[in-house]
Amino acid sequence: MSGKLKDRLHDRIVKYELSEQQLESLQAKLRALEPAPTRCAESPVRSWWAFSAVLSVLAVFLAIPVYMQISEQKNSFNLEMAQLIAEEVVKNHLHLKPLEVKSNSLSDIRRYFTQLNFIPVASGLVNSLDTRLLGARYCSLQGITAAQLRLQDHKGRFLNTLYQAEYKKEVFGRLPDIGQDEQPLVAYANGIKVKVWLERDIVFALTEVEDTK
Amino acid sequence: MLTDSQLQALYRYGCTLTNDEQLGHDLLHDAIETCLRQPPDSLDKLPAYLRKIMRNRFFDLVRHQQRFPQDVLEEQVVGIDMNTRQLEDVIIDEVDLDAIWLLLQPVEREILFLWAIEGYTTNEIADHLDMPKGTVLSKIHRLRIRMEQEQGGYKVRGEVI
Repeated sequence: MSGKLKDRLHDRIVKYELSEQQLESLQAKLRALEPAPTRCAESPVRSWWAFSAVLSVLAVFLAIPVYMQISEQKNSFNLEMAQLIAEEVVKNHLHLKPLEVKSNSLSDIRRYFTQLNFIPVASGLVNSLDTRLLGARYCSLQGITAAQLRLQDHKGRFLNTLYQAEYKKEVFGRLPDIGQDEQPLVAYANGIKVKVWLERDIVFALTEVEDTK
Repeated sequence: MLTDSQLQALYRYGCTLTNDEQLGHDLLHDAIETCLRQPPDSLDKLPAYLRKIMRNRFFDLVRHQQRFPQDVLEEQVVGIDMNTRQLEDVIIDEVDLDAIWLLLQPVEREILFLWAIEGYTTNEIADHLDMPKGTVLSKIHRLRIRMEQEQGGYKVRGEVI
């Protein structure tokens, strides 16, 4: 079909299109250019803490009952957040996006994740499972950059997804710390069980596809 | 950082230069690697910076491999009224364009890309290619003549402006 050269050129050139996998791979590389998030300067933080301390003392003396009530609320685990995390994790778990790094070595995985504010660690809870590491990719958990690790049981029957993200209390609220002998929270999304916990100041979320045999 | 559509545009630029999807991807990939080693001053300039790297790398490779004859960059054509509007009048069909596309030199494909996809003016094309405007005009003029010759005469609406 004849037409203007410009239109024909446009039709021809837009046929070149990166696949979703190619896009993701290139985007992953570009993430290395993103500036690392900066932490708050020391002095304002110290001032804030000093101010908060004064307020706390006042609160203790002037409003002990209210203070006690607030403390109690803070000590309760954030069940709502566990459910939100479960829904996010399961959604990604079911999509099984391509791995950006394939290795069964945690050292290789650590070398790949250069843009995290933490180092992915082995979890005592995950080590007890009969699984092996397949690889990992960047992702996010409630808007926080995270590492998504894919695990498979040794017989190759089912896959589990493990998330690790920097713990930000203002985002995640209070989560059980297994280092303090607290038990992980359990939530379900789309019929899949998800455990959420804190370990070594890192938020963990693990889908548990159980062996039914 | 870069949106997916910006990445797609860079990829299309790479494919246009190389006339090959795999090589276009490799060119973009290499440019990103280079960019990681030598990031731009500002991330706002990232798309233009990547495109510059792609272009330099591609023409370095071309010159190195001597696959294509070097362009004479100094040529000037004076006294002929030419601009990208010469191309606006060209009518062509898909099959003919495919055939001609294969015969074009990389810099000719690049001019067409910048004109048709990016909407650049002659001056902007000259700036991007780091060529004198006269050289670009000359290339546009020859591009049109070449299309007519290769195709045995394209249909052109009206007179050349």
